[in-house]
Amino acid sequence: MHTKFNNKIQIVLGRLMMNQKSLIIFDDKVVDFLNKIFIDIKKNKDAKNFTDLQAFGFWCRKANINVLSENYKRNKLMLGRGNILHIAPSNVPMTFAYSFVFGLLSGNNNIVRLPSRNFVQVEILCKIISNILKKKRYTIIEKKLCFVRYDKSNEISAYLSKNVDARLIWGGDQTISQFKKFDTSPRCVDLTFSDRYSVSIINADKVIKLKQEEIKNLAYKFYNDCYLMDQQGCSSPQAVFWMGRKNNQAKKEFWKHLGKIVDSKYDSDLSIMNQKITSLSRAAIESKINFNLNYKNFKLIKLKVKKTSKNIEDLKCHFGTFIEIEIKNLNELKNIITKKFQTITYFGFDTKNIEKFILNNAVTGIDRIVPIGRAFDIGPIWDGYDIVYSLSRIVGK
Amino acid sequence: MLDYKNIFSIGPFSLSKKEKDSWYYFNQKKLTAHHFKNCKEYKKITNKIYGGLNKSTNLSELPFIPSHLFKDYNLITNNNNNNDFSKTLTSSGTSGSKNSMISLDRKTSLLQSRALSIIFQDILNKKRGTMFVVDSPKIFSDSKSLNARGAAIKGFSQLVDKTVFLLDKDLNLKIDPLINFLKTNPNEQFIVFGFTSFIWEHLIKKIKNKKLISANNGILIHGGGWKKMQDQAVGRTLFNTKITSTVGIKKIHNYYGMVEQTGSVFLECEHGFFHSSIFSDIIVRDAALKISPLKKDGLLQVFSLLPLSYPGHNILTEDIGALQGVDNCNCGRKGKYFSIKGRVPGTETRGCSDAH
Repeated sequence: MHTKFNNKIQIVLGRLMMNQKSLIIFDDKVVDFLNKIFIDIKKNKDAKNFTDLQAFGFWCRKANINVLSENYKRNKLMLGRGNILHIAPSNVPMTFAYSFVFGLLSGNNNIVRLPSRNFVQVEILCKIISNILKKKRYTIIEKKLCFVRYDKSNEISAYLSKNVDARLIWGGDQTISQFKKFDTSPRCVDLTFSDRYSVSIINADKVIKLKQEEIKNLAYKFYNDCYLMDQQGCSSPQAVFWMGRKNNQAKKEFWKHLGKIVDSKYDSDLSIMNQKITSLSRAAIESKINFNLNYKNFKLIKLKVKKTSKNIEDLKCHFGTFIEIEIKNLNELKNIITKKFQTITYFGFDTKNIEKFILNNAVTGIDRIVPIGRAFDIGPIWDGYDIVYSLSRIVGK
Repeated sequence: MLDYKNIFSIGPFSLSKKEKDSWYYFNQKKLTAHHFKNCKEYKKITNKIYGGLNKSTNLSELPFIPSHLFKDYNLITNNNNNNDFSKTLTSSGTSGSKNSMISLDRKTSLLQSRALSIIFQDILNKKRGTMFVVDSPKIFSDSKSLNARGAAIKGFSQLVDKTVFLLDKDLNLKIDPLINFLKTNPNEQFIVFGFTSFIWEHLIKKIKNKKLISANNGILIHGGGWKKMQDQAVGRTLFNTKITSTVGIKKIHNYYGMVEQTGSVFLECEHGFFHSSIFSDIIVRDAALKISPLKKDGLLQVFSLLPLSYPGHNILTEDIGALQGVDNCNCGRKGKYFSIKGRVPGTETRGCSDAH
């Protein structure tokens, strides 16, 4: 590391290693280390309060990692590309951790820029990892990571960009365009995670066949997808498409249950209320889409849109706001879906039919199809990339 | 349009809630229709968020504008008769944040001056005398636009016979005119006026060691900039005590107002509560946008009957406060009275007067 940055860059964990040798993908030592993270998060009292940290820990367990590794054929040699720079988003606490783990699983050395906001769960995780790294057994891992913090600095970002073999750039369009300006080595691979838009599709006729308890359960899963991060996550649905003949009845039941859950669980405050009504008023002025705002409970707002309009993604829906559109069949979506679309969360559909729809209509968006409730389940396949594949060097023979 | 002759003939704090409510709603409804017809942004908000113009059954259901929108858009209500926009008002804004833009026509400007005068008649004698302004005359250097401080000074200047500035262009205190005035007119009423943080920074702090001659006939009026005071943990009691111990004035009135609603300010009474006048009204909303009960903190929504050239008649502010009572304040003024606690977190500080 260049000495002129010494005062500006804070090394939270590890060391700035530039020439550690790469491991093969899913190396046993890495899997062992991840499982230790799983165990230590489970044991940690402070970690108990954070569901996202718990989920990350659970994801790191050996059983899960082994299942993931099945997806990679081992008849060819696959090893890390070298040094990776991870630029984590500032508003989502745990993305940096997954990004780091993907880098590690693909055998690389990792420089991770932590979120600029001070999240408690980030601190807890860093402490846990720091304790694990003190053990001699994990020396090899200790040399493969460096967690840093620095205030927005083009100078530092440019320097780091120049000296790595791959970059994972989270944090949206603006961050990406900034980082693309920096020089990188000719073989440097960039995986960019831009601003995305996600939707839900619900089969109304299947909903009304559910028991009350099951509808409640579905609503609860939907709640987790949307409200846990104020509907700001890129995979949180902002629009709901209803398909089927019994739309009205299904909607009524679904929103009723969701309303109750939101009422008892979602902590709105004056700041959120103000941001929400301000952004809705802005949308009313700017959006070409005609909508009708509808709510009994301000924490759950529906924007009724009559026709399936283009550019619905311009209508920003956050803090519990949903565009609601009725469709007769999936093909009606083909004019709505753009490259910006990331995740479809669904209920009552066969994924094969959704895949068929994507293929037949040569739809440019949609990188992910998961059941409602799994919007935040992050894995090595994200935003249309296989991150482990992309970060590894495959030796052909 | 509204019957302003009638409105200006009513005592500003004379109506009880029962007498005021339906009368005020009737007038606000008329004003809402005027802005709906002549302001395209307001019309869109009304249609998309409130389901159209005629859906309300009471004041709280009328379409409001979140105050931040005055920074994002130049909202104008323009019905061919009133395109004589005389000035653009701006909030002074803290550095780096956007300003509110208010397009003021002559008629609205006149209404605002008259309302301000009527509200302050309540605490001033008929004979108004001289006003000493804790600010610099350079505030009027731009003829096209005026910030919140300038607008307030201009408004208050019209209530008095003579205006004297106490700060020079570099904001240094020039207290001699006031001292000379006190020597030659020991029994005459006078007013000291300024933004709260200016009075604190440039008057109180500067003369803390030398008590001025007792100024018993003075009235001090201040407003705005309370955010800055809050940051320094200067409350009402400390502020008032310091005024009395340095300048000697005992009669002190704060007011709450915003550049979007110049004129129809909320006057602080002798017991420390802000009062809505017949020109204004206030609603407190909770995190679910519902009306907060008495004494419960929420976001303040403020109404004014004065704005005609921009949709500032119904605004959701970013200020947190609580309604403290209705019709029964010990000061004797009728109507709603409230207190202010601070600004909603997570929004950039707007502070009209936190200017420099």
